[in-house]
Amino acid sequence: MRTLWLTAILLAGSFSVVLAQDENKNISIKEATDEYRFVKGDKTNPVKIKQEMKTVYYCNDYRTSLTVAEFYNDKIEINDVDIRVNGDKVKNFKPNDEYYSMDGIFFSDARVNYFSLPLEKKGTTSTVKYEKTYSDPRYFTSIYFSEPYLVENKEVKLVVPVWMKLEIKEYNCKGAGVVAQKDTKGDETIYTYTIKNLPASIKEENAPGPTYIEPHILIMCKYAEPEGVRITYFNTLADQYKWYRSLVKEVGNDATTIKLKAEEITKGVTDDFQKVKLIFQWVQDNVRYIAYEDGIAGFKPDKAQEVLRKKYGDCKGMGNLMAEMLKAIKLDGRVCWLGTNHIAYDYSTPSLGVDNHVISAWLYKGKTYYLDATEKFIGFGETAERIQGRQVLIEDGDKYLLQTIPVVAEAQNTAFEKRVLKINGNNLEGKVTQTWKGESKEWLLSQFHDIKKEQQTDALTRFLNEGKSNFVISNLKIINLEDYNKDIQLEYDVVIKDAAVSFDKETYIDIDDRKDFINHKFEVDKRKLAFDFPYKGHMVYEVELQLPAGTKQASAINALKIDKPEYSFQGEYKAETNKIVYKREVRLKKTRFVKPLMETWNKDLQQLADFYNNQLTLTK
Amino acid sequence: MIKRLLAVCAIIIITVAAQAQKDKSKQEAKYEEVSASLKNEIWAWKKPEFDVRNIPAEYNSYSTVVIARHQEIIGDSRSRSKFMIGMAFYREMSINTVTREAIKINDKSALSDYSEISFTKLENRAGMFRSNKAATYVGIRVIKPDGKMKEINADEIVQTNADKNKKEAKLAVSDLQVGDIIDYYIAQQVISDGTDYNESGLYRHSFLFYDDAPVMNYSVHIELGRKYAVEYRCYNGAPDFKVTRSDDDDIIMDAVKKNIPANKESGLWASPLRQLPITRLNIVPGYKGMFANKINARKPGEVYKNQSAEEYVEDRTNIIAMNNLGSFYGFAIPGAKDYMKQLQKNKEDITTDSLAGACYYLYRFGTLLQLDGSEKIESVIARPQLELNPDLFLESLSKYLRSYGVANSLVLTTSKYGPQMKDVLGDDFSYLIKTEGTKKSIFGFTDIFTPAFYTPSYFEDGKQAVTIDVGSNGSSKVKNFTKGSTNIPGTTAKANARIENLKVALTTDAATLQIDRNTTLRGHYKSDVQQALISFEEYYEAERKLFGIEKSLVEDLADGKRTRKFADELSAALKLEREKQKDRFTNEAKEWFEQEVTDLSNPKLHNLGTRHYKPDFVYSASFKMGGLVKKAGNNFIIDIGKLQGSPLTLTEAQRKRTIDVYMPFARSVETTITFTIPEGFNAEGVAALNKKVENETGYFITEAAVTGNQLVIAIKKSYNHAFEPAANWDKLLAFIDAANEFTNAKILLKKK
Repeated sequence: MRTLWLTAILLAGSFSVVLAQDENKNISIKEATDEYRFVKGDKTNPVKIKQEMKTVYYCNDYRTSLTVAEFYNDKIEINDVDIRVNGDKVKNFKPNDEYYSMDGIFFSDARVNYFSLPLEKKGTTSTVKYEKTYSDPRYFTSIYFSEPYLVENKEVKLVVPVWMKLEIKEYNCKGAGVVAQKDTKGDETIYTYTIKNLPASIKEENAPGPTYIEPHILIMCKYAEPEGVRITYFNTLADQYKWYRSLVKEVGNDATTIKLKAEEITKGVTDDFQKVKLIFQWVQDNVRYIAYEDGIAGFKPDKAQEVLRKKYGDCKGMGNLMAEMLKAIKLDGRVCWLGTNHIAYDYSTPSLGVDNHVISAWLYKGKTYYLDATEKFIGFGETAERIQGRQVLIEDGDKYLLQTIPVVAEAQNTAFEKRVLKINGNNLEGKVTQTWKGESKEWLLSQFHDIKKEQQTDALTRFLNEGKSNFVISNLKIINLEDYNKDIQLEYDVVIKDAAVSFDKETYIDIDDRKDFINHKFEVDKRKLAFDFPYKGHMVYEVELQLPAGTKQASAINALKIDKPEYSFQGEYKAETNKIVYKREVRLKKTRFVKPLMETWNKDLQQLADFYNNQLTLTK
Repeated sequence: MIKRLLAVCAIIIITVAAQAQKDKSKQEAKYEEVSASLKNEIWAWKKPEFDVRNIPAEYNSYSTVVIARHQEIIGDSRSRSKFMIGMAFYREMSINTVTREAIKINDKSALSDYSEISFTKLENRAGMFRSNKAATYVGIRVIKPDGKMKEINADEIVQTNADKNKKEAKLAVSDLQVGDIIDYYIAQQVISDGTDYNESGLYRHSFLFYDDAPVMNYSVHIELGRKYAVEYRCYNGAPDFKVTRSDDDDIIMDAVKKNIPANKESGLWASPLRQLPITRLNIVPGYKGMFANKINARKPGEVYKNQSAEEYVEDRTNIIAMNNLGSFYGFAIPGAKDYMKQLQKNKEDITTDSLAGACYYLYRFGTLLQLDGSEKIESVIARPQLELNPDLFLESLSKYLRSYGVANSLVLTTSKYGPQMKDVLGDDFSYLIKTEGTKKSIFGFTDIFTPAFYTPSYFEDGKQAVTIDVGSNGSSKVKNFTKGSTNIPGTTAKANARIENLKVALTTDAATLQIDRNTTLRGHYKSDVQQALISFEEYYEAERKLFGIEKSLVEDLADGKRTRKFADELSAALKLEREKQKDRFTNEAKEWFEQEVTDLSNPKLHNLGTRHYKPDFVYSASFKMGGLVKKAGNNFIIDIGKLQGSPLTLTEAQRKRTIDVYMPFARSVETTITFTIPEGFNAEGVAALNKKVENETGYFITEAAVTGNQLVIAIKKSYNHAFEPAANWDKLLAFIDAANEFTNAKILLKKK
């Protein structure tokens, strides 16, 4: 499936990307117009959309230049581009035009037309005009209003003839200075959006996807009757499914080849669950993720036998292969479409902008097991945060099933560490066991396998001791790295040098040197957007400290217990016979943190930091 | 490109130019034809090393094993020659290179590295004096563990750019899995008139006879037409070429090395050209016609092994002569007219050191700080980080010094991370300047803050550098030049110092430390921090005052009719930059201490350290540092050891070392912590803060004592030399480890 980013830049009508500078207050957009007109096309493309856009950039403080980039592809053509600098035509203006390469996509039809636009002096303007044509209304899905600079005035107009049916839905427009108006002129309906003083769009790390943030409209092209005969696009979700289904039907999977492989993988296994697990991990391990998004290949899966032969494919290829392999051994495998949590929409608004991912599902005794082989190290029955709670369109012959992938609790991703330690002079010594589940396992393994074999042990040691030279690891045993359906488990001996500091009769120990999340304070003064953690977290850390004879805890340390719907922090020291048992647990129950929550988190985090700062004091 | 291949192959990516093609499809057809013929030829090579399937078991612990690697360079020459501006002759060169490797894939990391390739199939670029083109061909076979071989079909190549002058392509390698062998080649055909190689018309190549992976067989084969000359040098035990001649008298060169174990050295403080087996080779269009002697041309058909450095000095001398042609014009600094006039007038009365220094600073200001309103404002703001060509700067500075009567020579030397002077191959030289009649004499240049009489660390302790005195500006007769030799002095650990004075107290809430920090940087420690902390405006303003320029940068520009508008805009940009000063200081403190730094106030630059007679870079700021105060009942534990900054931590791989140690420079760090013991508390554990590890390579010494309510801890660390023999590595480790251990040092503030 096309990634969201591609969807945003290629399906969207007006996402002209201007690469912003840090100091974007220096530039503003004085005036911009962006008009889309539905017109009758030809036999192959009976309906086209003509776009004319004009943007006037203004230099507020000091002369500069900006990069203007316009993306296009097989379905979008750039017909003309023109610029004026300070009112003058630029001699020999020739924009660059090239293949657009993106991280995570091996090959696509995305191209970029770009150039550097000078703003000659303070108070001057430079103007950019683009003319584009969309050859298929399916690919015309949204119009974004914001820019990397303050937009003082912008008018977006859609001119829709009576023979074209569409629906428009506004997102994030409330309070953004967007005024919508609908007029009818003769046979045409004109939708006008007037935007005033819209602040520059913001880029922050770990922010939700643009559909959650940027003021924009989603355009749902329903159907058209340019010559009296109806051409249905996505009038209903059934139409969208029908289109996807038609592409899947055209794939041409070779059942015989697939069956041979599926049987080879599951040879001698009778349990259906075990069969599914084996096939799932085989695809995870043997099919590399390489995305091709070339024209219709952005939506149509590659043949299952081809993915099998090439040992690479994108999400569609893997989803289709998984479903076909399950079907080949008489299990109910299905192809599923969905939008990850990067997208604000669901299938109530049928459009190509709604989804960006394909997985497979196994339907068994009324239950659906979701299988996303692009997650390379996740276990069967575990689901990645990005697909949890998302609507999923499951193939069901000529019909479809619409389900929601269950949201799972943070316990799916538990990272557990237990240390059994004793004091030896100034050092702490003992044994450590660590396990990782779910997405924390996925994260650890993906980092691990990026490292060359000969460097893995060294790297793993540095990960475990966090680069601290006084944390000396020996006898490192990797209990499981290969079976993703089990926890990843490590065991090792440790000497933590100078961790028990003695002054006179007292010994002080910083028992929790992991201090999970200690540095995760939100810069609420600077942060403007919500923050998305990649997945829900659950960190459990336990230490059992054997006390030397005649030693006891000098003073009790208050336990910590903060429990909020979005997170919880708990910690306590328990004095038992000849030992102190320390247990600390951090739960990240939700991944999206909006600003008010960040402030609460910061206050509670301070309490966690204070708890971490307590030193265990032992006295004789 | 296959990522690893880039490192291995080391083929210079040649940007090639050429004539526009007339028939697109004809060109494509030709490409396919050559591609097919190459494929037949290369896969048919009689090289049994590529068929080896028995891989020693001990190699299974490596991500990859290079079963065989073969590189070929085949060069011919056409008769056509061109006469180019600059008195140099160029011939059209046709160079074909092939790199073929058979690699065993042992893990997912290797699978990822070898699974995709991007390449430029065809590239053409035309120019008035250029007619160059290049094509790249790729062939890939995957050999499964059962011995079955699958060739990757050309249909799987996707074209990402189909520009008429540049066709780029990508290929994902199908059916490649861990446990397979990938046998692939990349062949490149380059037809060039020499203009795209470099100014000397050289084709340069390095063969690295070491690798992170074990290499079972590495061979090189070169065939060159008689019109070429070859010069090469083998470093650090790289195998020599066997040189023969074909029936046509072409040059044939072969080298082979078997069973190269994986290189386990980490790369920390290493100088590969002085430590690892490498062969460097230049292919030169030979020339023996008119002016051949004058331009020190290489004779066609000759193979020059281990040429004397003299030959290359001669080449560079010719360039110096050419660059010294014509009159030298200085530059005007209108505001400093009086200063310059005075300097010319008094130049006989002041010491040569003072005169040379003054000239340098004028030159630095005139070329790097002065603005005329034509600059891009963003680039003015970014000028402290500007990367400049030191050789161009120094060549011109040499003339400027001479124009004030400061006799000087250009010094040809090499970086310690390059070859020794005696081992150069081609134009490996960099410039310094050596002035006559001065106490200090070497001028080097790294960035816009470089003071006079500064030698960049990587040129220090250079032996037998060559000095060339052209005599006078405009003189281009090499025979009149004076040549000599000099050694470049080094600097001491004391000269390259970081001195931190920290006044530390517990904040009233006893949660963090309040720190007043004063930092002095000396020598090579300055440059990076100057670039991070000093804004263009601060630098300009400090300098212009020293030249007696009355008006500030903005005032000066605002006076000019043509630059008035520019001044107004620059003023706005400078204001924005001033607002970032706290952030700059905060980031620098965070980077040094690697701790949480907040509430920074009073950032001050006391001395910029940009003049040789006032060389210290001194700055200060106050801030809070979190994370170092721990609560223990009614007492507090302070992680005082972490205030020494963040010392070097070595990985296990780095701790094992068999090669000599090429550190950037001798250096020392002194931190004095004055900690105010809060009222009602005693400081305990002070005696344990006294440590001493010292040997010939350096030391780590800490001394702590309490006087009244002040705990004073002096932490001193020194790397005594820039270079240490491998045998001294354990001695270095001794004080490096001691410094690391001290990061865990603590004091207890015990409630009285």
